Amino acid sequence: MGVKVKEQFQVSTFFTFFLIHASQTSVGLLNYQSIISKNAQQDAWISLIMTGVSIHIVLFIIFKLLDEKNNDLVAVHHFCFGKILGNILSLLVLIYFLSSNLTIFRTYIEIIQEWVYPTIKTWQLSIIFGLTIYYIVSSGFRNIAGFSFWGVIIPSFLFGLIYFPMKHMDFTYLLPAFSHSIKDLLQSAKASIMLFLGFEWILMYFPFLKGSSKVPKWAHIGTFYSLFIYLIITFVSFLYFNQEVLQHIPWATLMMVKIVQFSFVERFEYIFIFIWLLVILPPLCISLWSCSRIAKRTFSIQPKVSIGIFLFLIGVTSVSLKEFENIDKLANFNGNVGFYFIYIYIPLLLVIKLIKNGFIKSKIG
Amino acid sequence: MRSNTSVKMFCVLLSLLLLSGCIPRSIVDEVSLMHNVGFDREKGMIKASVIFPNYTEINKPTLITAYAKNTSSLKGKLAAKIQSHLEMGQVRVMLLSEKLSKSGISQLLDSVCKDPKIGVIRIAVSRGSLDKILETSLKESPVYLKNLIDNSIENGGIPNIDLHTMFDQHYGSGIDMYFPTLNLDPKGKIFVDGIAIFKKDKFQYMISDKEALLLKFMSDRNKNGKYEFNLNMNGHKTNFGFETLYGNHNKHIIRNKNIEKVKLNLVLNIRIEELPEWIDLQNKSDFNSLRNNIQYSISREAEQLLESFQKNKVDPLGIGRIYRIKQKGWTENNFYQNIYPKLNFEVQTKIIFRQVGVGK
Repeated sequence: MGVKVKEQFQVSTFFTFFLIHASQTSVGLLNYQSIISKNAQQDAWISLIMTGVSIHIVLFIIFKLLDEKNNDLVAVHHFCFGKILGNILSLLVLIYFLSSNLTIFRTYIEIIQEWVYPTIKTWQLSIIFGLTIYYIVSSGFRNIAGFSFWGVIIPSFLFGLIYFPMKHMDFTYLLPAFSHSIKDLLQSAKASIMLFLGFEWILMYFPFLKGSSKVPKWAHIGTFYSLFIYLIITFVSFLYFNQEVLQHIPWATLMMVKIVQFSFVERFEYIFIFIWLLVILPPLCISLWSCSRIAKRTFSIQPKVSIGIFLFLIGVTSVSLKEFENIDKLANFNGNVGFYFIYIYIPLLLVIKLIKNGFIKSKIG
Repeated sequence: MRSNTSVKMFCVLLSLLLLSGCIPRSIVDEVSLMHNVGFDREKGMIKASVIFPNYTEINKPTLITAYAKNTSSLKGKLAAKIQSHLEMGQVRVMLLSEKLSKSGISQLLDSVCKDPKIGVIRIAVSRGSLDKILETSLKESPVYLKNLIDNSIENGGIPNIDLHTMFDQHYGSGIDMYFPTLNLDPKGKIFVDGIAIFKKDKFQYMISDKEALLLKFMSDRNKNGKYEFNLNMNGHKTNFGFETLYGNHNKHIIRNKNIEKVKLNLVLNIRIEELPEWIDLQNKSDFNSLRNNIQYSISREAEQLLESFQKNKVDPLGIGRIYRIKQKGWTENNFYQNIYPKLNFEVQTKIIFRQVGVGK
């Protein structure tokens, strides 16, 4: 059954905006251009809009799924499948959340290794980030919400940097528009899902949001804001880079930052990469917190213990992922699981819940 | 509770301090920053000549050369010849010899593309001896070559060419890449003498700096430069020059029946710096006749340049790209083999006398 969270642990409703937006923006934003333009090429922005709209629909389904009685995923699982099967399913979701966390964690370390310090060891960075994440997550959900707030506000000044590539835009790169088949568009739309993944963690932190009736509004605004920002960055990078060039440069966003020059700092991409840590931390923390929350709700494991265990697992797996190919595979795998999770599993869950609801009602009636 | 927090804080601080020691550092005094790199081909090997200022001894830049079969091991060979760690991050000018350019440079450009440390860089082709140019630049400041190229791009007749345009032209289809060329004048001074146009990754066609200015008019946003031509008006003959300030261009393809034509509209705002005494700009007919002469001269020379591109099978203007917009199933091979040689060109220039000088 659902949980009542004391008001002192809850956060204001408008934090939903920051939580949703912060958990969607992560490492994907640095390298998504070449991935989404593989099939639909210059029309990939249409795919992006398609995905964005579908995410709004999934959010709508999620808020239908959560109600006063069953206000998080574990409660919904218990309601639909009973205790044992429900717990097993919750465990599977936990593993999926953990793998999202691992993807972000390992990819960011890879960026640092590839761009800044080629010889630094994975375990060194793992320990630094692991300690930071433990520090934030173990201090509770309110802290994470606060961190998400600053994780959105502080890096937003980076958005002004699009002025530099905008000076070199060439509008013929978007032409011919609308020249790709529906199949290509859908394939690109599927590839762009990884940009939006992360919002599903609201399934676990929903009880911690005050005034649950207004939560959907802020959640939709958060997703819309993400879509808006992604669209602008996509347009700028498609107008700045030719499609063929995009396929040659995996880190298109960082390559755009490369041309940023001030008289006092010549290589802004290094600063950019480290400021990006502020963007990475909220999704890492929120996902880990969601994992520990599932562990607490299903197996009654204390968060402080479970966070330690999870971080240890993430650290060990990060170190064991040595080749860049494995990291790509992990990201792909995670994107695929996320795709099935939000488009198939969640609607299915809603259907089962509605059937069960009707069944109970007819029993009472 | 409180002691627990401070212990935690202490642990975090301690680990941060200890771990930050693991970060590899590079201190300016202890690395060899190179500014100019030259690549040449000799006996089937790639030869790299590197200039870097020796900051420990005042004003003593050194030139070091090394040979290797690929660019990656070139770095190792160079590193074996210098005392401190080699740093690529400050490379400003990459100079390619004519011989290397003619044999293909895609491997070299790939190494530039893959290196995250390379930032602000100008690539140029050296005409004549690469070593001589590098040796001459030793006498000047370390960023002399970069400033030289920058200046001719901003105020001279060279279209903008940087890392971004290089990627765009090299990896993108429907356009050919080009780099400025450096040469030595008889007195041993380095100057920018034109543009080397590449087909795929091989040096194919060279144009002079005067033609490069026309290319700049037709392709670059910045149209600043000095244009000169032989003026034949009112029975007088003279060589006439002026400065172009800014302007815009657009190009499109016109199809009628079997003839396809590339139409280029050029608007140039100019400033007149000197006038022969037999021209009176107050006089309407003089004014119009001068304008027509300039417009005709630029249009005709631009058309000739485009035709010479066509004849030499290069397309630095990116006509393939404009063509691609309207053609389904466009392929680079088909365009350059069947369509490009048959295209006609028409350039229309409009001159606006923006400034005529303060004196009279």
